[in-house]
Formats: sequence, structure tokens, C-alpha cells
Amino acid sequence: MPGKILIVDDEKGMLELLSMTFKHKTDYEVITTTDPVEVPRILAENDIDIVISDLRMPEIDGIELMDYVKQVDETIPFIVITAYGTIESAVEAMKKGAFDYITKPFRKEQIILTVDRAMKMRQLQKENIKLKEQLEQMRKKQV
Amino acid sequence: MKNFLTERKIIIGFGIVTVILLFMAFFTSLRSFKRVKQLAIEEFNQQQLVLARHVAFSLKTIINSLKEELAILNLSPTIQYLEKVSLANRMRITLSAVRNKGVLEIRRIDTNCNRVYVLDKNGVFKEITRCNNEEIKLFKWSQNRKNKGKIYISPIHTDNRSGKLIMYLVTPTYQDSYDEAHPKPTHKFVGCLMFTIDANQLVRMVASKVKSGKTGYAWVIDETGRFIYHPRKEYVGQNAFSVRKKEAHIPVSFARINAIQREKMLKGKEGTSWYISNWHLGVIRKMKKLIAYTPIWLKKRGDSPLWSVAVVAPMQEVETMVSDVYKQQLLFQGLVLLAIILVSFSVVGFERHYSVQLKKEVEEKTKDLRASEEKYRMLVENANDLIYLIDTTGRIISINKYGLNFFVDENTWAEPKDFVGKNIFSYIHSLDNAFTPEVLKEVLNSGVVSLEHEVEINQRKYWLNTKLIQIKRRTGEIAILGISRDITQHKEMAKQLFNTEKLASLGVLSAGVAHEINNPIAVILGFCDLLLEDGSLSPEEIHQVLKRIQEEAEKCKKIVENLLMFTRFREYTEEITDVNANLERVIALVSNNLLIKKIKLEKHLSPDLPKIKADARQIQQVFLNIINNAIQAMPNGGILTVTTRLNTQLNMVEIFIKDTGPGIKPEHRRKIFDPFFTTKKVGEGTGLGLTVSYGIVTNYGGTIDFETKTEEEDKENHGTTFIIRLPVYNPKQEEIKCQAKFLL
Ligand SMILES: Nc1ncnc2c1ncn2[C@@H]1O[C@H](COP(=O)(O)OP(=O)(O)O)[C@@H](O)[C@H]1O
Repeated sequence: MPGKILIVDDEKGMLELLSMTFKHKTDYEVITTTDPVEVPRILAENDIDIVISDLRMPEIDGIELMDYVKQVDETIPFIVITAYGTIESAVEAMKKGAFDYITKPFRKEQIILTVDRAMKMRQLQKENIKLKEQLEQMRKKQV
Repeated sequence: MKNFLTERKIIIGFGIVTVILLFMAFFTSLRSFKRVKQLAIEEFNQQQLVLARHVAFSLKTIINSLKEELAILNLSPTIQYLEKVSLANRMRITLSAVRNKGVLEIRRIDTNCNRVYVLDKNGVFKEITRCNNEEIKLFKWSQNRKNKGKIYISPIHTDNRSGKLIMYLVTPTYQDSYDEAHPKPTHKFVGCLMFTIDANQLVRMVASKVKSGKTGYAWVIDETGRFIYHPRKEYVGQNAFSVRKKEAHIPVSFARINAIQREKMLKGKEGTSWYISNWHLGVIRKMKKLIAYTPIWLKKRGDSPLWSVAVVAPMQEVETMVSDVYKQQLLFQGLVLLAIILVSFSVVGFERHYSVQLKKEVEEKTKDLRASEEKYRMLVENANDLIYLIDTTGRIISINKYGLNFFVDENTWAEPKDFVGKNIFSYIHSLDNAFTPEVLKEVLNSGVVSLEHEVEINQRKYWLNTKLIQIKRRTGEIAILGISRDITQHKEMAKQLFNTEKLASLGVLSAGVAHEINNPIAVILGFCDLLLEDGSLSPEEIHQVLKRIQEEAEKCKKIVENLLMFTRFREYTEEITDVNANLERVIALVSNNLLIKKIKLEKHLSPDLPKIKADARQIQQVFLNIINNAIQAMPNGGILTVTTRLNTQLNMVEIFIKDTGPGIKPEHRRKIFDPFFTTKKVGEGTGLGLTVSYGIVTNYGGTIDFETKTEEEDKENHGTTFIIRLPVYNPKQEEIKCQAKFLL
């Protein structure tokens, strides 16, 4: 199941770890950035399926970023990474529409599982949209 | 309030006057209504009388014309000599002229009353050989020589056969005329000529055309009181005195009309009056009728026969006419009055409402004003500020009570008025030349001046924050309002830097640490996971991963080190140690760094500095942190000045570490001691250096302050100086401490 993941985190180490994990354990293509300001450009240039982001970043905070992404495409699942002991902020993010959250430190199986689930949902949604479009066209033809 | 009362009076007065006027108008209009009704009735009856006269006149004219026709016909020789061939023709000519005037027959009775020649109204000519009684009576009148040339008008009688009301015009015939056949008149009496007249038809011709008012009509009676004409056909020929009673469906008294008929009409009088009736053109009910009557003397005044014509109309007709007009007028009057009242009331009401509103508003405003004045007064009186009003030379106009606390000693009684008229500058002495008469000129120029200045008042020093505002007094003169706040304590506090409250509690600290440390640990663990489980990583990747792990582990180490040093959990040993020696050791550590960064070092270490009691490694850590900060602040070189000295007053060792860096920005100054506050890049700073130093120093009863100037604040002498004060070791105090411990 191919798909594109965007990972946003101000910590280089974390980005390296995640992209290496996805590279070796999955077929997903990974794009990373330490700068949340870059996200709009990346979203515009790539067909991103999932966004993973740290909640605490210096420039824009993770929830703000999620709001932005949801504005561009509401169906993109947004996964937040939070530090251990800051579950409250993760819950807050879930309330505002995050797909799921991962607490640091995490095991690779855990994050892969979460991303797989998100990707499945994303695929289903895409299919759904396509089917709807087809239906719409059929209706138009009938008319 | 007074205005209100008068206004009330005016309104009540207005109301009373209106009501009185209303009643007066009502009564006068009622009275005038009655009078007008009376007048109208009289007027109406006069008109009826005119109509009646018209009827009488018309009837007389018709009868006169009939008389004329009769007389003319009587002059005809054909009539006089009874020329049988042309007699009928001659009669026919006259008949055509009089037939429409009620003439039924023309009769010629012969000389001996043996024969009668008759032309009926259809033009049929007959010769009758016998005279009836009536004819004989009339003939006898004609025979009388005295009656030659006269015309007799007979009384009316009802014809037995046709039921018609018949009357005769009779004239005696003499052979006075002549023609070819009779060239010589004989002048002999030869009988008489007469018209048989349907009296009812004759009168109806005129009377039926009369219309009085809307529905009024005329009727005519003869001298016996018989109706010759009445619009109610049954009445015709009947006796006017009895027929009404006979026909009455409703019993009413006919006394009045009977009296009028008897006393007035049948006596040939003219007049107007009213009577009670029960009939009017088919309407049966009791009603008042107006009547106008006039006599018709058929021959001449005072001579029988006499007829009388009456014109009547229901009084109600006139009344309704008048009252209709009056109703309209009253309605109009009422409407006008109503309009006036409404307009006046709305005007008064509006004005009243407006004035009430105005009053309310004024009251509210007054209340507000009073409240604000009160508030203002309270504010001034209770303010913990020195508030004063001075003239442009500094003379006190007024001053608040609190201000007096500055001017007099405690426990000395003083009142604001004691100071009025004195000059403010004789009480407040400026120590920095900021608060002088000069400043008042500035206030007059710019309106407002704010200053922070040091003064001496009543032999005490203060820092004041003063605002001087130019104001215009109610009297019109310009004055200056001064508000001075005592900020002495504030200033001192600011000097002493930030207190322990600012320091993060251990909880906050550990939360921060957890976050800081979590990241590198998560990365390390993640990579380990990859490394351990997977054989697919390339050698380069493995190398990269290991390097990354090392970096992240370093980060952890640094954080933990700093943390351990900050907290008291780490074991430390207290010893009596020399500040200068510790400083030298740190300087040795960084000397290499100073060389690289081209930083010049200046040392002013006091040679006879007392010792302190502390853990030497901790003290070195503090110096190292602060000197490192200084070096980092001068990446392009500068001067690092390290000074030690004994502050005898405080009995503390003072260490000054001064750099010529960019200084600390004002917005950062309050935060630099906060844990994890850093302006440096990741890896360069942890934000814990100063936090840890603060913890260590305060732990020994010392303080850390700093003085800093940014380039903006001072282009020449920018930079930061950290001042560390540590208490001098005092063996005696130590003993006391020990004893205290034992006591506990
Ligand atoms: N000598 C100095 N000159 C300018 N800024 C300083 C100086 N010392 C400290 N600071 C400021 O205080 C902040 C906090 O310092 P510190 O607690 O030592 O943490 P760190 O040095 O790791 O940033 C620094 O990031 C810096 O902005």
C-alpha cells in the first residue's frame, strides 16, 4: 500500500529516526521538514496522505499546524507526537480532529501500526470520493 | 419643581376652560337649534302659504277664463237666436277651449224652460225636451232681470249617477246681438247658457301639481266643508269634518284641524298653523303637520261661493331637514373642538414628557457629576500619592492629606491649609535637577511632563515618579496639577534583581527536564530499536545512526549535569575556600577559549579577600557558567573584566564579571534566571546555566545581580556585568548555627 507521509519536527534526530524507520519497515514515501513554515509549500507540491507532527515546536505549535492542514484538506489524517507526561495536549489535539497520537519514546511497531491505520482510512476516503464523483457523473448523464 | 406646579395649574385651568366652553357651545347650539327650528317651521309655512295662494290664484284665473268663455259664447247670435244648424258647431268651438278645464257640458235652456240643448264633452249634441230641477232653479235665477249680464256660480253638488262633483256657471241669455239673419236685436230674455263643470277635475288640475317641501300636498274644501280635491281619492266629495274620523286607523284628536277648518278656512281667513294627523301619503301614524291655508272667493271677496285651499306637510320633514343641517354643524363643531383638544393635549403632553425627560437627564447627570466629584475627591484624599495643585511659579494652591506625610515628621499634626501659599520647591529638593522651576516652564509648553527623579523631602531621600499636567482652573487661570508616586522601594527592589519566587519550583523544573530529556531519549531508543532488530541497514546508515545516538546522549548528559548541580540532591561538601583561587582555576579552563575568540582579560583580584564557606566545585561551576556566558556574548572579541573585593558594609565578598557584549535586551531581563530560558541555538545553550548558578549562590546566602546596557541604550559602554555576592565566613556564626541545630 503506497502512500506519502509528511513528518514535521524541529528535532533533526527525531526526523532521521522516523524516516529511517519508515524506509526500512514500510513502502511509504517520507518527506520531512524541521520548519513548519515549509508545510504549505510541501502540501501544494506533493500528494500528501498523512501528516505526522510534534506538538511542541518553536515557530508554530502542532495544533495550529493541524488546523492549517485541515483547512487545505480535511480528509488528511493528522498524527501528533507528544512527550511523555503531556497527554493533556494530545487529548486536546484529538478533540480538535487529530487522527491519533504517539507518545515519546515509542516503539517502531507502534508508530507503523498507527500510520497503517491512518493510511487505510485515507485510502477508503479517497475511494469514497472517487465513487461519489462517478455517481455524480452518472446522474448528470441520466439527466 | 416650581415650574412643574405652574405647569400643572395651567393644564388644569386649560381643562376647566375647555369643559365650560364645551357646555356653553352645546347649550347655545341647542337653543339656537330650537330657534332655528321654529324659524324654519315658520319659513316653511310661509312658503306653504305662498303655494296655497298660488293655488287660489290659479283657480280664480281658470274660473275667470271660464266665465269669459261663457260670456263670449253668450254673445253669439247663434246661441241667442238658437240657430239650430250652427248652434252645435258654435258650442263645439267653445268646448274645445274649455274641455280641459273641467267643463263637462255646455247647455242652452230655451225661453220657457221647455227645451235644453246640450253638447257633452265628447262633442255629441242633444236636444232634451224637459228641464230637471236644478235647471229650473238656475233658469229662475236667470229670469230675474237684475241678473242680466251676470254669471252665477252654483254651489257644488254630487251627481247621483256619476258621483262627480258638479258645479255650474250660468248666465242669462238676451237677444242683444245681431247678424244677417237677425239684423235687429230684440233685446228679449230667451233663457240661459251654462257650463256644467267637474269641480274636482278643475281643482285637481292646479292642486295636484303642488308639492310642498319633499312630500307636502294641497287639498281644497268648499264652503260646506266638503273636499273638492284631496290626494287621497276616497276623501273627495266627503265632509272634511267627518271623513277623517271615519277613516282613522289610529285614534287621534282632530280637534285642531277641525277648529282650523271651521274657524279659519270656512270663514275665509288666511293663515298658518299645525295640526295632528294620522295619514300622510299612505303612511299611517300619528304625526304633526304644518298647514297653510287661504280662501278662494270665486266671485269676489266676501261673496259666496267660498272655497279654501290648504297646503300641508309633515312637521318632521322640516325638523329632519333642520336637524340634519344641525347635526352636521354639531358634528363639525365637535370635530373642530376635538381636534383643538387633541392638539393641545398632545402639545402639552409632549412638552411635559420632554421636560420630564430633560429633568431626569439633568438629575442623572448631576448625580453622575456629584458621584464623579465625590469619587475624585475620595481618590485624591485617599490616594497613596502626593497630589498637589500649584500655580505657575510653584506656589501651592492645594495639596492632599497623604502628601503631608512627606513634608512633616510622623506624629506631627498638619493640615493641608497650612501649606497653601508656600512654594513646593522649598519642600521638595531635587537631587538630580529634574524637579525645578524650569520643569514648570516645560509643562506650560507641552501640557504634560512625566519624570522619574530623586529628591530629598524633610531630610529623607525618595525616588518619585511625577506627572505634571497643565490645567485651566474654574477661575480661568492656568495651574499645574502634580501627582508624585513614591517609587523608592520599587527602585530598590529592582536593584536587588529577582527573588526566589521567580525560580521554578522543583515540579516545574522536572516537567521541563522531562520534556528536554525525552526527545533525545526517544531518538536514541528508536534508533536502538532499528539497529537491534534489523539487519537491513547499510554500513553507512549504521554509522550515521550511531553518530546520531552519540549526539543525543551528549545532550542528555549536559541536561542531567546541570540539573544535578541545580538541585540539592547531589552530595556536596562544604569547605572553607578562597574565591580568588577558584576564579583563577576557572580562568585557566577558559583561557584557551579567550585566545581563540580574541578576548582580552582584565583581572582586579583583591589580595586580602576573606574566605567563604562553600563547595568549591559548585562555586567554580557558578563562575564558569557566568564567564562562559560572557565569552559567548563576545563572539568577535572584547574585554572580559573580573574583579573581586570585600564589601565591608554587607560583609560580603563581591565578584564582578564584566563583558563588552551586546547586553541583555530589556524584554529578556526578567527571564534569564528562568529554567530553560535561552536565546541561544540548540546545542549551544540549555537555558539552565543561570538557573543553576542562582540556586547555588542563594543556597549559600548570597545574591546574583546584573547590570546591563544594550548597544541601543549606550553605544560606547554596552555590555553586561554580573555581580555575585557571597557571605564572608564567620566562625562565630557557625557556632551559633550549630547550637541552634542542637536546640532543635
Ligand atoms: N553576559 C551575557 N550577555 C548577554 N546575554 C546573556 C549573558 N549572560 C546570559 N545572557 C542571556 O541569558 C540567557 C540565559 O543564560 P543561561 O541561563 O546561562 O543559559 P544559556 O547560556 O544556556 O542560554 C542566555 O541565553 C542569554 O540570552
